[in-house]
Amino acid sequence: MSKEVNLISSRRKESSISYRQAGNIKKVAYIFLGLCVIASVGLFVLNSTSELGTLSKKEDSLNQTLHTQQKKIVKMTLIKDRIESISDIQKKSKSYEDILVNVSSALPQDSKFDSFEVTKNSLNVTVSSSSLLSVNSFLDYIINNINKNHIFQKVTVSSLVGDIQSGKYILVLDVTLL
Amino acid sequence: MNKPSPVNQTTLRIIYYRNKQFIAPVIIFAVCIVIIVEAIFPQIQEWVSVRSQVSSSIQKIDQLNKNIDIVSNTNDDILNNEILFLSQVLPQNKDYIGVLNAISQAAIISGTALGDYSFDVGDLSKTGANGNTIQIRLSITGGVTEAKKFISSLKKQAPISDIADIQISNNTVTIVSVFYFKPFPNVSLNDNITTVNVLSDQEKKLLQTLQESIVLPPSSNSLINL
Repeated sequence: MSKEVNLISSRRKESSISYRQAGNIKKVAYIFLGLCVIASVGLFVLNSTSELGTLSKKEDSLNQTLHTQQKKIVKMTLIKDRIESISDIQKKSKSYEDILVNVSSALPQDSKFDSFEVTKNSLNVTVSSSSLLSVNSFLDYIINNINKNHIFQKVTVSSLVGDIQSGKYILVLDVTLL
Repeated sequence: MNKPSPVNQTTLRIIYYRNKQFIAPVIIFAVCIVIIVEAIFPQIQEWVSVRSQVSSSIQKIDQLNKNIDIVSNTNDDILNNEILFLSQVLPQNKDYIGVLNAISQAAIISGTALGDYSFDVGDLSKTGANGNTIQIRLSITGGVTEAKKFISSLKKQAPISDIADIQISNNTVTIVSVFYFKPFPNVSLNDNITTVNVLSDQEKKLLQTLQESIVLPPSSNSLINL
């Protein structure tokens, strides 16, 4: 009952708590403000004293040094360009020697090439022999080497003719090259 | 019905006196927020950007130092010789004399008898990625063995060539050979070139193989003026 009556002392207590809270908030506010100012100034100093300017000057100076060697750089560029082009040409180039070696090594001694034509993708060959067995062995070699030696892809026998007058067998092959 | 009490000067004064100790902290917090938004955030962004610039600048400097080292350690005479050699292996324009020389040298080395030959000029307006070509149809006396020898020795001649077609019949070999040429790329001394094109190991090996296998004619001295 006395508490309800004596309202003044209770109000004093409330106001002293409120003052204390206010004081604490004020302290936090000042600390926060201080931190903000320190961070702001610190970042400004950090940014303004960065080594970017020095590095930029050094970069310019090195560029100047390199500029004096431009003749050599141009020559190196030209050499690189030539070598790259030659490399590309060689990559696209087909080894005709391998084709010639492969096909000619398969030819039996009693046979001969009547005609022989190699293009980028095909080989047309006409073989004549007095022995059918020799013609057969040549054909067997070519067929057995399809997809094996990375040269022949597909073999088509265009014709096999037995010429009674000359006593020769003539084989015409169309070979698709890999 | 209860009417809301009107806000008068006395009420405002009471509110002010009750909360006046909080006014300063509120203003300080507001100022802090302004500082964070207007000063700290932009500074942080700038700092991040400066860091990345510094890092890229350091990388550039390292690259420049490496390039300077490479260029300084490269012998100018060797470069001149390499350009001279490569400009004959892959000429910058139609080198008919070089082509004829290569064919006759290949015939001499392979021991084959050279017959007729004819140039196929083709479309002069076209330029391929690896340059243009001169096509030549030539004939040699012999069969497969002679063709093999001739092709093998033609490979060792400059300008660089490739075979497009081989026909063998009646003891005559007809070869369609393609000789390459390519104009030099447009590189000006006034350009601010900082990239040094160094040959890779594979390219160095190719250059060495070419230098070992291809024999240049003794009269060749087409110097490039830079």
